Amino acid sequence: MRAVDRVLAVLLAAAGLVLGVLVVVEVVAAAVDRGPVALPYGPVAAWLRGTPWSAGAAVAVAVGLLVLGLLLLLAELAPRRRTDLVLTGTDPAVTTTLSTRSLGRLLEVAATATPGVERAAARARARRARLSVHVPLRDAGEVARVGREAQANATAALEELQLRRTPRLRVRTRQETR
Amino acid sequence: MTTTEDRPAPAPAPGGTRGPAALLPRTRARGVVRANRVVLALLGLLLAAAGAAALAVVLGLFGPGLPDRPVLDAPVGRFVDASPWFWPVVGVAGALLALLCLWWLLVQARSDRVARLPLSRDPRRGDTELDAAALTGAVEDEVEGYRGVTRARAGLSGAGTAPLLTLTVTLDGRVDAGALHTRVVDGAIAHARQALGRPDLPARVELVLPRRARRDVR
Repeated sequence: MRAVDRVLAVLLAAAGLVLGVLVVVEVVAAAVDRGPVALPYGPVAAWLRGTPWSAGAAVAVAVGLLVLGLLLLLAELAPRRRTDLVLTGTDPAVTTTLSTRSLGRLLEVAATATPGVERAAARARARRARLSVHVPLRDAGEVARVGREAQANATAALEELQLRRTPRLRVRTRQETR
Repeated sequence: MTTTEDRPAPAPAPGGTRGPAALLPRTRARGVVRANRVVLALLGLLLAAAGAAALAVVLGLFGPGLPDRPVLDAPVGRFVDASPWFWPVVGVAGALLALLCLWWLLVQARSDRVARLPLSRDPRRGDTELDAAALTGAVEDEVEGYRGVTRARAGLSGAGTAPLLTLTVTLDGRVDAGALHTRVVDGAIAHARQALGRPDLPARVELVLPRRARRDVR
């Protein structure tokens, strides 16, 4: 959200800067009896004079403003998610973190290192992590064994990290016969 | 077939467990992040209020005849024509908007990066400063030499007299991240502290495992 905010800020600030300058230019131009320089305010004013509040276009603009404003407001007021998991360490002056995204990849790497696992997909949060392991075998018993092995590898990788709070790992094994 | 197994979370490690378990991602400009959030929230509030007011007019909450009247009604035009101060005020508002937006645009480039570190101050012999890039470059080179690291980016932030070493280490997935963390702290960070003569230099290390990890042979 922080990066989205930054992009929005740059775009809106640039747009506001241009609009503000154009308004000043148009006001000065109108004061010296020169027509519109860059902003076509004549047609806009004519449309506003000819459109009642109950017209479909006016209602659509009102609904659009309300929805856009509420979305922006809710997005900015929602508490930011803490996505950097802290590793335990002996030096109190050093804080080492690993993002939940990187943790997901770490679990995927640990699971796919297991013989028999074709691919793995993980999604991690601060409190829980989900790992989906895909095993392309026909024998159900063998699939379960590979799944347990992949889970053991992922759990070991998770424990080796020594996070301050280790997320609860949930592993799902999927049998994919070709 | 799909089987699901739950593994209880292991007990926390004995040392260094104090403090929050998760943090917000690091930023080089906390003030800018806060300013963006406040301005965008205010903008959202303004848009929502304008939309709600317009819908209230449409629903006839401000008068039964108003929904059928034009958005830019004749009384508004008469008011503008009768008020010689109106357009100058609009011009000033435009100028203020432009200035505020210029400030908003310029603060996006603000950062708390430290470029120079004061090493010693002597009124007779002069001041000695260290270019931060010399230190961060050395830290990056050392960490990039570790097995399992594909890239390292270091920086100094905060104040020159109380800097924070920030380090982003991109891993290739071959080496245990926990072990690498210990190596970074005992190696590169210890050396940086020694070079600066600050044994308590705080540091924030960010370990990153990209989606497609490079597997260079070292």
